[in-house]
Amino acid sequence: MGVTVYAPDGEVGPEPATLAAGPNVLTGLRIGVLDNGKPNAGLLLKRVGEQLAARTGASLVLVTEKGPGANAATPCTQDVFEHLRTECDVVLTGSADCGSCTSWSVHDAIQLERSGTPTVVATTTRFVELARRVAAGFGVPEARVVVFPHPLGGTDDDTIIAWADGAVDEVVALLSRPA
Amino acid sequence: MSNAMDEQAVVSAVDETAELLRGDGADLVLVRADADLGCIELRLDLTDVECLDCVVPPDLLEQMVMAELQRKVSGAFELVLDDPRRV
Amino acid sequence: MSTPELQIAEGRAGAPEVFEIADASPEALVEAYASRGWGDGLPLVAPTPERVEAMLAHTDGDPDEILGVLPPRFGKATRRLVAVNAVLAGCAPDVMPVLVSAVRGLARPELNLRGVNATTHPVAPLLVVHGAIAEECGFNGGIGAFGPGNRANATVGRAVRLILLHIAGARPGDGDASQDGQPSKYSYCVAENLAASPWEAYPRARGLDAPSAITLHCGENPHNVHDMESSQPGPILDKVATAMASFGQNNAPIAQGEYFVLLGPEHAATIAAAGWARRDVSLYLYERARFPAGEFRAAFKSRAWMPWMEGVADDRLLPMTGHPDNIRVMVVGGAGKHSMIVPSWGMTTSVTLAVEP
Repeated sequence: MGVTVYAPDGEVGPEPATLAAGPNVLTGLRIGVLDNGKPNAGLLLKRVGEQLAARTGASLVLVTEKGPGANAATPCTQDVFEHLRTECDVVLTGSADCGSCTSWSVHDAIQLERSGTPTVVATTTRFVELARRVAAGFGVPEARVVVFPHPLGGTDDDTIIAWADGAVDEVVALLSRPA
Repeated sequence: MSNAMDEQAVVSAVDETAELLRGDGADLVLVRADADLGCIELRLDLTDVECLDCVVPPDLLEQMVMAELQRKVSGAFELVLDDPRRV
Repeated sequence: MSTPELQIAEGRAGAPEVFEIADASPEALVEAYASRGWGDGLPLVAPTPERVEAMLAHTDGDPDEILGVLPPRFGKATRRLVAVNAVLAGCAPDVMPVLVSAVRGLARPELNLRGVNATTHPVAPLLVVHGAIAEECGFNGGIGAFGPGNRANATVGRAVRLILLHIAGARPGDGDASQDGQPSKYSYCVAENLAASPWEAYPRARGLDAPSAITLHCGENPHNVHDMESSQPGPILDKVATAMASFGQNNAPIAQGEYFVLLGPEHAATIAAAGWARRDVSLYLYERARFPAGEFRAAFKSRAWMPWMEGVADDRLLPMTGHPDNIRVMVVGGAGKHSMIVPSWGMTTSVTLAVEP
């Protein structure tokens, strides 16, 4: 008479990701912008980057798009990723204002976090839930997300700039969060 | 131990995931939840979508739907997701 | 990052594998398991579906929900797998909420389970059980707390180790690089002796208000400190400080390293009778457990110090840990004039969380 027993080890999962350690202060650090090319994303992120630098004594050192062949609906290229990883201490990316660009912006952000670079994703009210869900799916529900009104595309420049200026405090707080 | 699939749980899981797609004008339709066969069939509705490239990519969508169903629906099931973007 | 991977890590795992052993004897079970690289060297209880169901009856929620992913193997820990390992260890079913909560604690990033499992240092997670569930399940925080003899302590501590061996894949030589191992890697579990404590429950001191809680602290075997004579706090704690002040400990060059100071009830009573709070104990030990900074520098080329410590001159005294809050005080044990310290491994932070099924 035999016995039926369970195995004790179970399935293997993907490696859990955690946020990179946020810097204590931003002074002297290098800010990068990863612009996915969505309407007004560049204007918004550059303004946030400039204001962040002015406020904290950091510098905006790199503004890049996703790379040749890449766009909002794909991850950034390996080259662009390496540039950001090596030349920047913190990154701002976006805009996450549709389903696929949200998915890939969050993906890029988490890859950067895994490489030790705190990254903030700029999303909108209509897509913040999706952004958080995708981040949670990567095992990082607490990913750094800053939320703007929807839509960004089609909004006039002055309003975009005002929204950017209003978000700087939040971005400082998100980047300074400990791991 | 009951094998009945909780229809309410399926509807709730589908609706919550669909909510994340509605921002782009897409929707998820529950075609059937068959407790006997252990099968849940969904269809991605892109009728009102202006920008096809904007919708959450097919692989990620399927994983998100699966994760939400697994969270809410007990018992084993097979998921069939009809995504028009997949030829 | 060659192919982008969008992979969902949450959700639910498949039910674990089930297999037949032709011979139902305990010996055959141990051999069948050992041939697959499982087990801790001691006899096992067969994890049959019936026994596993009996364990799961003391939990809430989806048995296959992923509670955490445990390195270095990145095994997906579920209530069902916790139940399997609890059966193997010989646990009674009522302890399941403690084990489920322990897995959540092990998965906390600040505990650094990957480091804990992979290091050459001897380190094991000490599981302390607090509050109502400690009473209800009969955990021992009094005489003989560290063993042997109490079923809940022994089996729950063992189940934690089996979870680390099986789900986390921390096997000696393959996943667990601990050079010598240590006895507490068989089982390391006690209850807080709140009845004999002059202070509030330890979880309360950490800001957690829950009827039942657990603490996980990854550290060495307990070090004994005895003082048979003193009627004042100072001399007792001076001796504790000498046990803390050692360059041989894992956490000596690591400023974030914690010390769990498990005062025996009689030492605690003496200290409290002089009007000392728990925090006074921490502050006093922070002051007393010190070496000249120059001796630290000579002993350790590689140090994980806080920036301010680098500014301390060679001839000034430097504390063994970077902050008094790293010295964590609670009462464990029975009648006698001893206390225990448990130095941490170093690159780990203890966690305290509510028990939830």
